Amino acid sequence: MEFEVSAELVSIYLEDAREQLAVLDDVLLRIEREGARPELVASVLGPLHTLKGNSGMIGLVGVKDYVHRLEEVFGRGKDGVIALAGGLLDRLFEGASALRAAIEAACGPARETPDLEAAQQALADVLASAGAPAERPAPAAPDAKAAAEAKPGEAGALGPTRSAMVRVDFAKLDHLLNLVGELIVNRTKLDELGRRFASEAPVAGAALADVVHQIGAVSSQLQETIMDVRMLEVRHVFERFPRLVRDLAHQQGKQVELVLQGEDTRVDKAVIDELGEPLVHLIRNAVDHGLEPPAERRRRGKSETGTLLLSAAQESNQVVITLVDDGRGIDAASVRAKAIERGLLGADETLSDREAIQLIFTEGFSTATTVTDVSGRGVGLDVVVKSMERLNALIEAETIPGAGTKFTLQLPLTLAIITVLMVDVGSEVYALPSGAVVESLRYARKDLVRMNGRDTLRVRDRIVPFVHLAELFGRSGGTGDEAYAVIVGRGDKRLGLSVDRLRGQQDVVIKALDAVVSNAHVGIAGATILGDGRVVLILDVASLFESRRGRSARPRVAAEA
Amino acid sequence: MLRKILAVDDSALIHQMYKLFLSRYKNCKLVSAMNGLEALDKLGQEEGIDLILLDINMPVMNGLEFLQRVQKENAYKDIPVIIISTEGKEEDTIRGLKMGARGYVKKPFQASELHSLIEKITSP
Repeated sequence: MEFEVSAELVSIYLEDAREQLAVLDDVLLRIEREGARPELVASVLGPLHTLKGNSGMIGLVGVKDYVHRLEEVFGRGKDGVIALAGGLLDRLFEGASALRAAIEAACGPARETPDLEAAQQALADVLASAGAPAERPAPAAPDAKAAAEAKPGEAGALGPTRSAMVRVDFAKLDHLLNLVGELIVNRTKLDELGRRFASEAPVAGAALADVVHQIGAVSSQLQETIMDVRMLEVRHVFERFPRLVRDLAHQQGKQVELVLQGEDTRVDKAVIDELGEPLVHLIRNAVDHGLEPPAERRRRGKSETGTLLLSAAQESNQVVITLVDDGRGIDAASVRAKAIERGLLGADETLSDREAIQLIFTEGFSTATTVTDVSGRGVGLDVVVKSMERLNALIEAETIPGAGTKFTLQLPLTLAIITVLMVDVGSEVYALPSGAVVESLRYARKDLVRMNGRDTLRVRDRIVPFVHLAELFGRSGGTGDEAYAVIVGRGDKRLGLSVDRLRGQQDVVIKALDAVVSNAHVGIAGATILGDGRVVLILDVASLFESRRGRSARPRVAAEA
Repeated sequence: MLRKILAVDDSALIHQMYKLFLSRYKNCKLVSAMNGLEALDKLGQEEGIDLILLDINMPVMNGLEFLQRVQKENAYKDIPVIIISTEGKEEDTIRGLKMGARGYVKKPFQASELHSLIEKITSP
């Protein structure tokens, strides 16, 4: 090509290609489920055609030729010349994966030239054995008409008219959000100045107060609008999963149906980016360990096809995502046994079933009895926990042995502006991310129970380890008989933090701290600036859990309910 | 003197490339449409379109149907049309030419191919 293919062109091509590949995957899945109806098959021709044209324009000849071959196969399938089922359909699934891999590799940082030789050959073989040698398909006119005749509804599903939309670099949205953050900080300062001024010079002060109020209103709207612009439907994360589940189930000879709900629930893009990995792990876990093979399901009186339900819903300031399977459930006894084997639990220690379940979130843990390809190295769910921390999110596991398991993820709607609970510890104010706070309650010193030299507090049916924040931060305070305990959660663990006073919740912008400062103080994640200019430290809940464990005599899980 | 070019294609990538390829025509406005129906709208809204670059395979209304309608309107039928052809759909291109399109380039095309064809077609 006589011009350089710029990074911007590549990214436009890649984004389009991903949409077209998503249609390809979707159509293949539906053909597998419903059979190769001509209209269904025809619906993939338009996107493939566009992908072919685009690939050619950007210089990816190998990809272009391969897509052309796919067009031929689907064209024949639509005309009934070949049957899109069985072995051929499997080859098409593999081909779609190979195509996706090739395109991603070609557009990735290494700009690798895609090698689709093997895939081309596989398709050519399949065409030959179907008795129809690779040649020009029937007159183009009917094809063009069929592909273009998609009803308005279908056209919308294939490729929404994008002319009303603008492509924006996500980094620019991040920058916008930072600017808004600064604006908010200064606006609250302005608020306070305005009030002070109003009391000193009432007339001018009133006029100023008006303006300040206006600015306040506009910057609130600005903040809301920018956060809104950054929101995407979780569909973007979910849409890859049906294909994943199908491939996993096939690999293991299981039958699994994935049901998606609430795909139009919206979440900040930064959260969407982080969400994929933990969900993939949870889904793999469910298909690999949770769901039984058809024969076993029959024996247990279940339907042969297992069900995975993935749903998303917004609840006030959070997004709740649940993954439910109707499989074996988690066997507390086998979790316990494995934990003892790995030295996470003493042989004589007792854990309730509920406490045992939470062990699955521990590093290096896995109840796999065989090392399968999928959960290979016994990675376990600790990866999920780390993602939850990065997202300031909570995860809980519930199970009914023999019936199934449910994972619940609670995510904040955005990352950079978070809701915090302000608390007093001695004479200082600290902020706790609301996403990590499970509950808060009053307690009396006498309610604390000493276990293994450490304080714990009984909260309903759980025993929660306790940390006196005043002691931890070297502050005086908390000597009264009564105080407040804020219970924070990490994975399925709970920790009680003693504070002197609860001040209430508010939204703040997180400012990162210098590495030097944040490393020196255990438990500090960042800081925020209040309206009066005070700097308030935001507590890092994860490290509070770590420091609590670290001080134990030996690694143990008991007493952490 | 090209004042306005209407580019009709369902691929955002192609539109971006048109932007690059046609930047040499200073003072020329590039109008985009994602399908035939949108293109008809744009024809109505924008005065002075001197050239149409037309893809055939598009959802909602394809290029051939668009061309058919355009040929029926006195206001539009004399605007030169260049068909953007793709491999395997030569019959469509031929039909387009029979309907009155002045020329075609085949995807993937170079900027220079497009330029020489545009100049040939729009020179008096």
